[in-house]
Amino acid sequence: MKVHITDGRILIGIFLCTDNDSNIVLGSCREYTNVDAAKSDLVEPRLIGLSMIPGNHIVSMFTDEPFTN
Amino acid sequence: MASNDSSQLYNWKEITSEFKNVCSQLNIGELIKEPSFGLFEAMSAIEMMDPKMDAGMVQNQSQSKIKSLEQGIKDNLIKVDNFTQEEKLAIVDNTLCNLVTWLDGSSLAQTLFTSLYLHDPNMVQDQYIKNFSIAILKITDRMRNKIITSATFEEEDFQPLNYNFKFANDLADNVFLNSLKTIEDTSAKYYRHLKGEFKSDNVDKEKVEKELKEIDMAFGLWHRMKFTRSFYQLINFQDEHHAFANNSEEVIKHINSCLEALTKIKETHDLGAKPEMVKVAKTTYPVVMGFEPTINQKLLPPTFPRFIKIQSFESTLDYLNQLFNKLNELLRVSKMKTFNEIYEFCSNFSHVQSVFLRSMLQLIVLPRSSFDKGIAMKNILLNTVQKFVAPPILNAKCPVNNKDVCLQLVDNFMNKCTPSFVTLFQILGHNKARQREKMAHIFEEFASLQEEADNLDSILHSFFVQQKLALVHYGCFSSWILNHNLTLMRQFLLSGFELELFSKYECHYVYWYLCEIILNWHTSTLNRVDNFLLTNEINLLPKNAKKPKKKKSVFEKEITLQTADRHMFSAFYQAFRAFLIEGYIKSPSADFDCEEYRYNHRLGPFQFFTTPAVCLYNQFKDKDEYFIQSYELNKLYGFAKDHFEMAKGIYEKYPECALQTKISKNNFVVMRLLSSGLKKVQKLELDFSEVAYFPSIRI
Repeated sequence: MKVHITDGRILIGIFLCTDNDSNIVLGSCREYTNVDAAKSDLVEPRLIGLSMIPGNHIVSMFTDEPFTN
Repeated sequence: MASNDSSQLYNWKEITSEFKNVCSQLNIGELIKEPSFGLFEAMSAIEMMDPKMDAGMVQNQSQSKIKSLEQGIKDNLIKVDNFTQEEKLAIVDNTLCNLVTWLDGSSLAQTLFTSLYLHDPNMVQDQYIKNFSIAILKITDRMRNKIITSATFEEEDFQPLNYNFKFANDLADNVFLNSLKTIEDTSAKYYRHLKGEFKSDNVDKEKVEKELKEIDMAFGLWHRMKFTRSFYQLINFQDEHHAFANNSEEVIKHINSCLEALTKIKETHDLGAKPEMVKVAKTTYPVVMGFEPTINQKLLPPTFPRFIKIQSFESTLDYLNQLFNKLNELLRVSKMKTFNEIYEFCSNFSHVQSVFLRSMLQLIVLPRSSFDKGIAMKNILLNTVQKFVAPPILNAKCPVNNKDVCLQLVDNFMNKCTPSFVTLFQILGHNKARQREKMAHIFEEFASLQEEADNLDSILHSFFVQQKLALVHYGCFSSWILNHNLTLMRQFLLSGFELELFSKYECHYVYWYLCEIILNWHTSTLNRVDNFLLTNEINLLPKNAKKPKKKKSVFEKEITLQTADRHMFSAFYQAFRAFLIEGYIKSPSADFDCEEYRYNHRLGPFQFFTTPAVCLYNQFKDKDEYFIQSYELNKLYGFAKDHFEMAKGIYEKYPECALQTKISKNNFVVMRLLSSGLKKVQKLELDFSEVAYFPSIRI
């Protein structure tokens, strides 16, 4: 899952848990400083590991869909 | 709606509104989760957007544009040449502040390596700053090596990681020393040149003032380089043990040179450029040309303290002055021959906070290699035994027949002792709290040494008896070990007071144990050694020599002071016991408390000793009950009063026991009031501030 948070960072990790305030726990999480960093091949993400994102700081979230054909 | 990124690895589908919708339909406390996920593991998750835990938070980043030395030079944001003297002074002073902050327990990444010049000194054109930076790198590397080798730190004392930074190891030490000396001479020449050119009768007052300032700054820079060079030479002694013992003139020369330079550095500090105080998150950092406080944040693990406080210049100077003064003191230690002296020195030295100084103490007393350590320690122990109890078997005049066998037995015993004492010495290098913790673990080793010593003594004594010699050998080595063990046990309990571990309702049985068991045994051990020494001295004299009159005891002062301490502990036991009965010291509620568990926990580490055998709780309780039932309350206060008075009488004779005299006098008066019933306790106050284990009682 990919999550955009309020200060512009992108976090990509494995979705583990959520609750009714949509706080999300991501495993093996990597952090990119901004959208361009996430798209570029050159910038290495910072490995965070297990992270919890408070629901009120989430701007948008995406899941990785399998490609169809 | 899919958003692709260039690698075509992912196929993102936005689910924001769907997700939030579904989530809000959950009940409070209801979770949707992976089957393998548990909240217990989640305890270590990093909460994003929390300033304390989130390293990458944008507001926590510094606003600076400089990301590395190279980039800073390229973008002309950082100077590597044409520094003004103000800037040079500020860079040197700020680097010293960072050095001391590192030595105080912070990480290299947050202190020294916030100076970009230290990342790659070869990129610096200015010779002064370049050589200063290389010197600091080498000094840091040596200090780190010394601290890590002596291994007397835990994570609260020191951070050993070097984050893969380079420490100029490719530059040979002697070559570099020549460069440093050259720079020092250049700085001195420049100062003299400015001074020579100065015309004090110049009409332009402003110009005169400016020139004077330049002269003073050149003076300051010269002495800073002198300090750096002396410090570098001092730190560079690889074999500290031999250097401090055999090469002490050179060591003293460097120490004095550093101390002198420090006074000049202090005088000229204010001439340097004032650091700009930059606010990053909740702390402010002093920023000088070339320093970037948050440049290494990404190297730190997420749970590391994010922001630290760099020491002020005043406290940096205090630290450095103390460092060199204490190093002078350490020269004394290299001359000490017995373990008792070393132990006492270490006990007094433990309150020194600097982990570097504690490491130096370790490296000065014992050589680096573990093999040499063993040999050195064995010699120290042999000297100690000889001085303490003069074993007849080690005396050349001893007429026993199978001397070789006996000496071999003694040698075996000393070989067994040596590793335990080496471990003990290392423990003495830790901070006080860790010392106590680790001491509890080696009691087992020393208890077994006690048994070994007893065995050795009985074998040797049986040889003496067989050959009908008048010499005695029982209670020889075993008294030495016993004396040592009792010292350790006493220190263990007293350090509980120093570290403020005991609650008031626990003190009475600690005092009781100190008085009835430990000091009781200790005094009788010392008396026994006295008799032993005298007996053997008489027996070794030739047959028709005059018998010496009974001399003063070797341990007279020690025994006297121990007696005084024993009176104090006894008095405190009685006073605290009375306070407990009357309720002035509250006991925990009986539903939640068991005195037996508390007693066993506090005195548990002594369980391995057979001499003195640990006093079990029921034995203590029997004696305690008997005591309090035999006497009325005011009699208890009366006994305490008598003991305080006797202690005071002894302490008064020794000027170094001024504090104990004062406390015993104060408590004697209080007990007199309480025992005569003239005054009742209104509010009980126990003041542990002067002597940690002898509180002043106030009512």
